[in-house]
Formats: sequence, structure tokens, C-alpha cells
Amino acid sequence: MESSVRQIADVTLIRIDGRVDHATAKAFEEVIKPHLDDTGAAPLPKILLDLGGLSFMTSAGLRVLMIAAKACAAQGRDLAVAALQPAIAEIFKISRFDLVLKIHPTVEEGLSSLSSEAAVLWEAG
Amino acid sequence: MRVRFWGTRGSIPVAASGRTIRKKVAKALRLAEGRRFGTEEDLERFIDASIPFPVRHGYGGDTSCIQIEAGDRYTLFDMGSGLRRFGQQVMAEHGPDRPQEYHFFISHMHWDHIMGLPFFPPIYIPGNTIHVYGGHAVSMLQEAFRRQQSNPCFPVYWDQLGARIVFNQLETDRTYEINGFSIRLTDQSHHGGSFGFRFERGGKVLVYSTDTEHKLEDDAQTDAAVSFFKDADLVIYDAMYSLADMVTVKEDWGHSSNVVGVDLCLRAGVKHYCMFHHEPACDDDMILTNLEETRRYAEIVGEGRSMTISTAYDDMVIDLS
Repeated sequence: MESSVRQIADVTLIRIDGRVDHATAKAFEEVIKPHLDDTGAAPLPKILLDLGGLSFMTSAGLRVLMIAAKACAAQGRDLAVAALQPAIAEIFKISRFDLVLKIHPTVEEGLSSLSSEAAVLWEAG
Repeated sequence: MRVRFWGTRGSIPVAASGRTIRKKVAKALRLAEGRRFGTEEDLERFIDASIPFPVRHGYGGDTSCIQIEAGDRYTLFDMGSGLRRFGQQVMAEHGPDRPQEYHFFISHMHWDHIMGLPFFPPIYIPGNTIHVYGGHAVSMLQEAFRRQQSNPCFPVYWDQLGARIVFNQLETDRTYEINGFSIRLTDQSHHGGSFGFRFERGGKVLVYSTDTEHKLEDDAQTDAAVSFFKDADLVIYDAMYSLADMVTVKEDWGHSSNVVGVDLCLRAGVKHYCMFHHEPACDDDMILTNLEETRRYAEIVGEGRSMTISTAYDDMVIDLS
């Protein structure tokens, strides 16, 4: 699993590539965890997970997403995911995560939904 | 070894409502529209070939009770409401005059896992012997059954039973030889505690693991479950909830998920994963959908590994041979 993080206006955009299963779920959690910590400097109010490069995910990875979603909800922050590959979208549907997470077809649409300023900056490259 | 399911529903028995039956009849009539059946055999063949399983049979509504057929003494998991029908069968087979010996392995004493015993005729017949095994202390096992058959819960009290009933506590760090089975048990996460069982006999391995909430963040629990399931021919597993329900609104309710079962069984090299302890709110169509989705999930995450997946129904039989 590989990851990269960008800050675009008031959105933290986290891109995940590769596989998230029982072997890599901890690493996935470590990528997301710093952005859920609201005890230090104020974190950006919105998180978008770009899962366009995610090719494999099991229940271990879904659990990490749920931890993130619960933490954001408790802090009054927004969290969404975007750009699911077809097999990952199926897993979200089977696990009913499509009913509890905000899912956007593309990163552009996810940013537009979360922040018009971030969407403009994204489009400007 | 043959596994026969007498009860497969979670939490509380359910029965099809009149409205549900009417919908099933309407579906069957639609499917049969314009057809003629010359013989009863023609009709039976049509039912089997052309009427979907949720319409022609359904998954049943009795709570947990599973018989393991091997050897000459009766061996069962749990005493849910399905035990009533098992009792009817053994009474029809043996009548009241031929004493029998029964061995019950109890996951835990929640109501839906013991409620069948007062309706199990052999307990009222002197000469029968009933061994009850569990991971809980004997005093806790006894208390649960005594309470169930005491005022004001039931009119026939525990001390009025005719059979000899023997309670046995099993420990998790030992292997027991009972009825020709090599038996181990494991602690599970559930309110009040529950225990899973691993039975081995003749080179075949059966695991019964219900009423267990698998905490995905607990690596030790995951490793222990994978080790307990290792290379089993059949794992009967608590698949009561969707994963989203299990980690949100139903967190800490003590049950697991269909997809967690897939992940554990694939890692453990299990040959057959059987979904069990169905959510009472699920109708037959929903249970079939859950099965199809679970198979699809296994296809995606299995990456070519082969595993049979079924969903339990009352009267289902699985041969391990």
C-alpha cells in the first residue's frame, strides 16, 4: 500500500494506492490517524479519500474507514471517499458501507461537494 | 460425519406471516402459469427445478440447534427452539421405553440457545441421560436451566424432570475425547461469554462458532480465530449482521458479519463456510441475497482461492465425507 497527502484549501486529500488487507490495515490506519487528531493544531475540517488507486480491500480496511468516519462525525468534520474501482465499489455495497459513508464517483465531484474553493484549486491544477 | 441443522435463526424464533405466505403462493402460481402436471412426480420436479429456494422452502425460523451424526450416541450443539423438532424425531424413532444418551455442547446460555429444552420430551423420561457440556462454570449452566424451568417462567419445574442430567465444564486449554470426537473449545467475544467448538473425527474437522463478535482491531483475537478454524472442512459461523451494522449501530451487540466470516475462513484455509444465526428481521429473499453477496465478496477477495459458501437453513444436511 502506498499513500500521499495533499492539502487543498480546507480539504485534506489522501490518496491510497495498492492493497489494504489484514497485513496492511495498520499502515493504512497510520496514514489516516494524524488527520483525525484534533488535540494539537486545528486540523482541516474536511477529509477526502481518493481510492482511485486502491485495487484490493477486505473488512480490515473497511474497519479503518469506519474509525475515521466516526472520529470525523464526533468532531463535526466531513469525510468522504471518491473514485472507487468497480470491485471496491462492490465491496462497499456488500458490506453496506455505501449506506454509511459519502461516496463520490470522482475526486472532482468529491471536492466540489465538500468545498467550492478546493474544487476551483483542483481544476486549476 | 453428517451435520443436520434443526435451528438456524438468531436471537428469537420467527415464523412466516400470512402475508409472506401469500406472496410466496402468488410467486409460485405465476411461475407455474399455463403449465399442466400429469403426475405428482412432474409437479415435484417442477418445484425443485423452477421455484426459487426462498419460495419453495425458505430458511426456517427455529433458533440454534445442530446435530452431528456420527457414532451411536446423540451429539448436538445448543438447545434452541429447533431442539423441539429433534425431540419429536427421536420420540418417533425410539418411543418412551428405550433409554437414550444425549450429549449437548452449549455455546452459552442466552435464551435463544436453551429455550428448546423444556419442549424436548426425553428430559421428562426416566432412564434417559443428558450430558451438558460448556465452557461456563457448572453452577452457571445449572442456574440458567433451573431458572428457565421455574416459576413464573414455565409450569414444569427442573426438579420434576425424569432424565438424569449431568453438567460438565470444559476448559479452553485442553483437548477432550467425547463420543469419538476430539474436542477443543475457544473463548469468544459475547455478553456473558460464549464458546466455540472444534470437533475432529476420522480426519474431518467441524467448527461451530456462533454468538461471537469479531473485533477487527484485535490482532490477537483474529490470530486465535484463524488458528481455531485452521484447515477445517466446515465452519459454521455467526454471520448475523452486515459489516456496516456490526461496526456502527450494532457494535457490542455480540455478533459478527458475513464478510468477516469470509476473511477469517480464507485465511484459515477452510473448505466450507456456512453462514449461521440469521438476523430475525431478514426474510427468505434477504437471506438469499446475503448469500449471493457473500459469495461475490469471497470471489473478489479470494483471488482464485476456492471455498464453498452456504447459508444454513432448518433441515439442511451437510455431509463431511
